[in-house]
Amino acid sequence: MNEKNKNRIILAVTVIAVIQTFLDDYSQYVHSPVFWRNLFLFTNLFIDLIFSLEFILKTASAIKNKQGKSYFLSPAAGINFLASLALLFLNSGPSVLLLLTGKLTLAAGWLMRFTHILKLSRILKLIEVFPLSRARMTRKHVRIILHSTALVLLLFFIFTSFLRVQEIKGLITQRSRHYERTLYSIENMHMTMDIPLQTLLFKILSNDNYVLKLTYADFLVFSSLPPGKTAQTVFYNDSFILARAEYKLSLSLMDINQMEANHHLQYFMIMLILVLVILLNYSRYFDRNVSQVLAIVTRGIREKEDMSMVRTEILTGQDEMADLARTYNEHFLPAKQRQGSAEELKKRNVFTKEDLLNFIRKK
Amino acid sequence: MADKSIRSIVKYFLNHEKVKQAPLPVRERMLINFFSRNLEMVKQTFQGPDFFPRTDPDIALRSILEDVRSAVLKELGTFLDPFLESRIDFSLLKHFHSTASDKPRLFREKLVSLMKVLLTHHDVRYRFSGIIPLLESGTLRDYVKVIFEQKGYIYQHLLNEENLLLDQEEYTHYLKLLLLLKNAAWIKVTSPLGLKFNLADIRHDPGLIVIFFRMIEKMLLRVIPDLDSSIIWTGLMANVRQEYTRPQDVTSRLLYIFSLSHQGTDRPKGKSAAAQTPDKSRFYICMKNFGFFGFDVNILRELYNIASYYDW
Repeated sequence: MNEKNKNRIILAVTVIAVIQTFLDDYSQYVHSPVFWRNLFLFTNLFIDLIFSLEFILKTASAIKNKQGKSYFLSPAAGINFLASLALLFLNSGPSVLLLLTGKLTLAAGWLMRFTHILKLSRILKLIEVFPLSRARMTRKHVRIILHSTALVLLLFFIFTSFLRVQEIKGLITQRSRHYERTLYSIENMHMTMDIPLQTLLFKILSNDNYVLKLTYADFLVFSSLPPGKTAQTVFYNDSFILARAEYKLSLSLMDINQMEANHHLQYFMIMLILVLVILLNYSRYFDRNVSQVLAIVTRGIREKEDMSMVRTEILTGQDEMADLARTYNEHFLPAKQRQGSAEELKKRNVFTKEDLLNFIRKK
Repeated sequence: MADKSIRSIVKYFLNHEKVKQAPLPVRERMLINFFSRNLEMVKQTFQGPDFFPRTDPDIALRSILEDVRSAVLKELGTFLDPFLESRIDFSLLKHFHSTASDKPRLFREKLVSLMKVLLTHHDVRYRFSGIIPLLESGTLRDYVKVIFEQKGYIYQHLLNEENLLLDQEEYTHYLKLLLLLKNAAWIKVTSPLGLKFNLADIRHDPGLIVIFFRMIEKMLLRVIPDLDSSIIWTGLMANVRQEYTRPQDVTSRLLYIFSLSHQGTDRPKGKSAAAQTPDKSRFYICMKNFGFFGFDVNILRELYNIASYYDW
């Protein structure tokens, strides 16, 4: 497979990965059925495996070509690493493993909650694979801008994500304490008012949206869980169990998960818009206003017969490029035409004695 | 002297890195420049053991130049023969009171002989290479079509000053014929005092230009007697600055602009959004240089406007 086809495949996988990342977060946000959320978990793993393979092949190729050091120090390698091995070992891999082994605990999910933000690196991968202008200067310049801005954003999102995990931990603790207090109050009411405990538990908690299921001494008091499978993805457990004395409360985390998915979607959109605006809009602007102008001027200087002017009317602003283009059009090209006139060319002496002697050397 | 050595040295110079992009007649010119400016050195080198030690260096030099000339003539012939055969319609000559239009085949044969005579002069070969892209492309046809449709400055002057009777199609063929004839102005003639000169030597003296053109006219009429004088003069006048032309030489001024602006230039390779269209660039640069080259700025402005409007 040639390089062009390889790049096309990686571009297609990257676009799919970006769409998949959005759908993954969106499915959490709208609380779609468990099947879909688990399906996204497996597709995450699949995408990370493909990117990991690509990263390993690229690294091996760089080492083989003795460019290992420069590759490892490049932002491209960093992005490729985050979008492949880092995600595979810190997010999708453990998630699927925990899901398959059935060890879905809230504690196990903290790491995945935190590393979920690394999925934004898939958007950054677009920078590496998106077919930009053929002009090297545009490619170089746009990538430097994107690497800098996107890296700042990613670091900021990682930091806020870390803070959010702490915040969620606080919210869950708060929710646990609230129901611990409620249970304590119900017990008090039962003792002082002589109302059966189960009646009190049912009357007070069955209408509470956060309490999905309640058992007392292994006896089911009520359950509002939907029929069928309720086990959730590792990252977003739909509920957690509060076990106190004889009580076992299954408390909903849906609102917290939706809030978090909302944040992820916002981060996703900010990053995607930034990358796309720079890739599609700024790169075009830069290509037309800088790279193409330089290419036309260079060609005009280098090639005797090229008399193409720069279209100054499309250059925006009074900057150095516009000055260069105007000087080239108004002064250089007319002077070049005068010098290139038949009379001037006729006088030109291009061969030297050295050329004559080179004939013998070549013979 | 080994022909093989001559051929290999000719091949070496004509395919040299420094000139290989240029048309063959231009490469010939560069070689002539080199030999004429370094004559002594070249002769000495040719006498060396690696070149032609047993041959007179003058003969070696002449053989090389003859070989180069053959190569150039062969290449120009491959363009000219089919061009004269199928790309010019000589029926336009009927408007010039010429009997040539009755026998177009005979006229074509005479024109071929004339071109052969003209192309024996290296200056004519050198100039001729510059107009080949213009003759090959559809540029003239496209501009003539718009000039005749818009009926602007150029058309009005062709009608009123030059009393043009040709229609659009005929005028395109007329321009092609004139482009072939115009380079006759670059042949070298010998003055009664024995001085050899061509247009390049007298181009700043309008009086001498007229005398010189009369000599050329006589020479051309000797080869093609039924060629109208006005055609010859229009063609010859397409080599001089606007100030030296007569008011009726509108076509000459138009051709002067076309032949200089399109000299040796092909359409540039690859399009670029930031690049101006080729003809618009050419005519704009010509407008900047109109004083230097002596272009008719009104004609130039109209051509520039056409190129701008059609994005040519």
